Amino acid sequence: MKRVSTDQMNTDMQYWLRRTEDRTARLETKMARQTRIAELRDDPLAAAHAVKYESFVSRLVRFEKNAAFAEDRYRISEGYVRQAVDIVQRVRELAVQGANGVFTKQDTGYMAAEVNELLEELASLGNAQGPDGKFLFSGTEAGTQPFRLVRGFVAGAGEEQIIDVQYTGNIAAREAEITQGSYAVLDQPGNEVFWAERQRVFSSREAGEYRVLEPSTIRVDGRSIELRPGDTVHAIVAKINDSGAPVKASLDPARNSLVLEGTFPHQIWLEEGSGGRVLTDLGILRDPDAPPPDNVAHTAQISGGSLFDAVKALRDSLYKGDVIETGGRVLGVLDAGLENLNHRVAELGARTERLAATRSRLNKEIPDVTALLSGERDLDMTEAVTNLKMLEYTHQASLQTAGRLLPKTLLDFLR
Amino acid sequence: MQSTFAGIEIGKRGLVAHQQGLVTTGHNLTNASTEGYSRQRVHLGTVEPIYAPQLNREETPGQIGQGVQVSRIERVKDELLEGRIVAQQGGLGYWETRDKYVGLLEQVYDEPTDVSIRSRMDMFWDAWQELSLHPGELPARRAVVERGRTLIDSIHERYQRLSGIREMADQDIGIVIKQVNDLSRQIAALNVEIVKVKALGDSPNDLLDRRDLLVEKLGRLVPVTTDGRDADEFMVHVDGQVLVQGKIARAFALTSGPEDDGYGRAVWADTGDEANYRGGVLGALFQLRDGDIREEIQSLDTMTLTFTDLVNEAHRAAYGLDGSTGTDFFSEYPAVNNVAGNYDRNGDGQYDSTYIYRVTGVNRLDGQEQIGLAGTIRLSGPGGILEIDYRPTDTVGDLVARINTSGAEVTARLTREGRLQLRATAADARENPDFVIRHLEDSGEFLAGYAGILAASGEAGAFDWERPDAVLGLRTGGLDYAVAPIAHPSGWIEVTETVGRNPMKVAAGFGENGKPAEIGDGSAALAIAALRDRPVMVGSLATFDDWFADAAARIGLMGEQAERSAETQSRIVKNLADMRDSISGVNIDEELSNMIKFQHGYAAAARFIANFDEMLDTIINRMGV
Repeated sequence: MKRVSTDQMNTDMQYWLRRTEDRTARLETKMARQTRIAELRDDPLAAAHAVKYESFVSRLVRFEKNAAFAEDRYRISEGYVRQAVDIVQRVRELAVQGANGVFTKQDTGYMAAEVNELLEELASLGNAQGPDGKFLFSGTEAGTQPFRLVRGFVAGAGEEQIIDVQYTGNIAAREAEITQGSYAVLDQPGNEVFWAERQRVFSSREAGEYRVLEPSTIRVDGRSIELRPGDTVHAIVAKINDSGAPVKASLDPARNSLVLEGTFPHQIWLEEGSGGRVLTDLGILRDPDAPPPDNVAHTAQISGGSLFDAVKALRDSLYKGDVIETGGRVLGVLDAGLENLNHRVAELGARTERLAATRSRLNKEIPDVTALLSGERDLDMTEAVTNLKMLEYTHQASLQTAGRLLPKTLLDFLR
Repeated sequence: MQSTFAGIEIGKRGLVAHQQGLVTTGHNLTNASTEGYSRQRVHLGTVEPIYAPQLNREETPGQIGQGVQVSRIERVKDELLEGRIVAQQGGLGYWETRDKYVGLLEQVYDEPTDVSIRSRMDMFWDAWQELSLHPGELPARRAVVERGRTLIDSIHERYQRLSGIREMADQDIGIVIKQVNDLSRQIAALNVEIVKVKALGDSPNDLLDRRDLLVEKLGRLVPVTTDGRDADEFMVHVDGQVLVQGKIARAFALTSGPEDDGYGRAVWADTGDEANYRGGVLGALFQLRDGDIREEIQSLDTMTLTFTDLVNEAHRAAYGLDGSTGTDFFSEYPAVNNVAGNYDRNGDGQYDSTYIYRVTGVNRLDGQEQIGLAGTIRLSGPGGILEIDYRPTDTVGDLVARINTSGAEVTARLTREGRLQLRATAADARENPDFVIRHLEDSGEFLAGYAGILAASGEAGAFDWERPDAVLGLRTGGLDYAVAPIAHPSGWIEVTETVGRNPMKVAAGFGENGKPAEIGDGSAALAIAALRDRPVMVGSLATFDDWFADAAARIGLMGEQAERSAETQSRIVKNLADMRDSISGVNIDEELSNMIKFQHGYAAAARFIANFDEMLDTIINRMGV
């Protein structure tokens, strides 16, 4: 274009000045907000990533909180279980002492009194409450005491003492999410911690001809087992054994009836699925609607008691002065109970270790992801300030040039 | 023998011509900064010389020139360049409008900051996590309710802002259509004037300038092409149809209908034909109002509906602190107060359609299990019916994924209990309602007996929305369906009164084996918290994270494109305008030198007259007695 109209120089300068001003204003906004992405259009893909990272970081922070909460809870539970270990060890000492034949019935009576106190203490440990007022060993029934103490007359004691300890909690457990999709179990039910022997339930009903008639479910220790019509008792036994429940099912060779045995000391929790009657028909449960744990049929035999039963047995045998009983069966059961308690402590320790590992991983992951987020979203101040200076300079230069060139026309030179 | 006073005549002609030149130069100078002005040039030509070869000629050597006259005053304008500028104006108007509106949309999204819907949803999720740790506490429940309310508030706000922007676009459309009609009338009026002036042989330069300016303004609003081949009828075409033809100016009008929230369509006022704009400000506004902004609102609705539906599904199955169950956490307003979803779509007083949003099958399925059946599922899609085949070796999970990626306007998922759930998405076409299942059909047994949704396979058992009471044709015995929500759920969703007034009813546990949840059972709280990052099918995206990221990226990319295109278009138009300016613009220096030129010419002519006058004076006054 060889010909330039007078107005064009002015419009041109305005056009480019507006653009410089716009860029300067945008850069200043970004610097004030400390972000590279003042508007989504500045970097749409980085914004999309930043959005995901931000949410991810907030989730990680929550997981860390959850892990800390779980770890604290384990620590508190562990404290109580360790105390129980100490008590049971003292009880065992008394049992060993009592099994020694030199003591008189009066002496063993004094020992029995001490054992009774230890039993009361053990029961109160079982009914321990956490700092939030909820019971620690009750499963999800955290508002009710896990162990109900029945008191009554005991031969040889001068006052009312504990004659039965019943578990009234449940076996469900609270969970906390410590990583996406993976949960830490927060509770240990009392009927697992304070148990001494493996339970066995022997049904007395003959099961050879039994067939399941409708699709039903049975629940063994919280696990649901689906049964199809036409399943025989052998199929039921196989399904229970494959289900992952800590229960071994078998058939009693003599009576051809169902036998369930726990694989480690705990109280076996049996329920019918809604509307089913399979376990009732097999003679295990009393009736389909009775809630566990006392729903075992009267005709079935159940053996394997809790830690409280063991300590109670020691106390009673000491009152009776039955040395053989004390030194034999009772000592054996106490040993089993102590071993179970130690296992529980080890389990809590293992869980705590897992949580510690999770927490240390989260502690590393959170800053890593925050660094990624910063890379997408944050402004490089050095670069921004340099660019701003450049823009200022350009702006000034164009204004100065315009100031010199624009005003002159031929008119100034004509007389 | 020439006339005695011929010289004076020549001088006079010179004076007049140069004076006209000066006047035109003055006109140019004073209009140097007028918008749309093209400089005018005076073309001086010689007067017809004498004597022409005719019988009454003088016998004197000729031809003798007779002076100067203004042959014509023309404006310096490149018509082809003008045509190109008008064509590019349409693109500029389009992208500038898009840039402005998409900028508004970007502001609504507020990302990546901590006051967006996403961060409120994160906080809501966090409250459920806290509840899962303390399921027997009341304060944790209050926190859940309050954060739920905050989340709903932010969803409402985004909906209000998006609708506000849509309203604004609609109002702009009304204003711009009026402007277009106005401009076309003015152009037609000018055409009449111009034709009259041309008929007399003059050049209507200023009128032409004015008409060009109006056409340029019109070209920004709607994409126009001009046709000046016929000298009597200047034509302006829009969308292949005539807008202005000579003195006839046609106009546009807006019609409104009940579909699509009452937003009107543009039609030609006289014929009622629909008008389509492929560019210009109007083109951008219509595309924004009926395309982009509508899709943003639909996307927000889809997310809201999916989220509240899933939370409600888990919450209803769980137990509150007071043992209550079956409580909804979020309230949804149904489109119709009719349990079977019957609706009267065309307003004639009779039910004619069934509005159902969601159906859940009767039977429990396992995602890993092979179907063992073959057939074709037919679902409603954006352009009609979509067919999805399945083979016996496909697993249930495969088929669910295939339905979700097929592009149908129905998504599938397996609920917590393993039942197949089909949900409708937002509709692509304006005349179809959002969140209504329009067609379900299966030639095999999958939807019918296997999943337990349809009563029979094939066409006989198909579900079609264009009949009332279509739900009666679905499978009975445990089928669950939900009536479609009233338009734009994101504007109407609330935390239910029940839960809001009594936080004890916030449910945290599912309970076991059909029994109510105990005080320490937080399984439902964990399940609701899990919704945040599990693949739950939000529209066609898998998780909520994907939805938020997609929304941010989509708007950002639209903004980036609009800004770049607007800048590009602006440069193109600037270049063309510069070229036009170079040809038609006034250069003051040039005009001043022309002024000097004409001044000298005028002075010379005046001098000539003075000399001639002196000569005549000699003859007249000094000769004789």
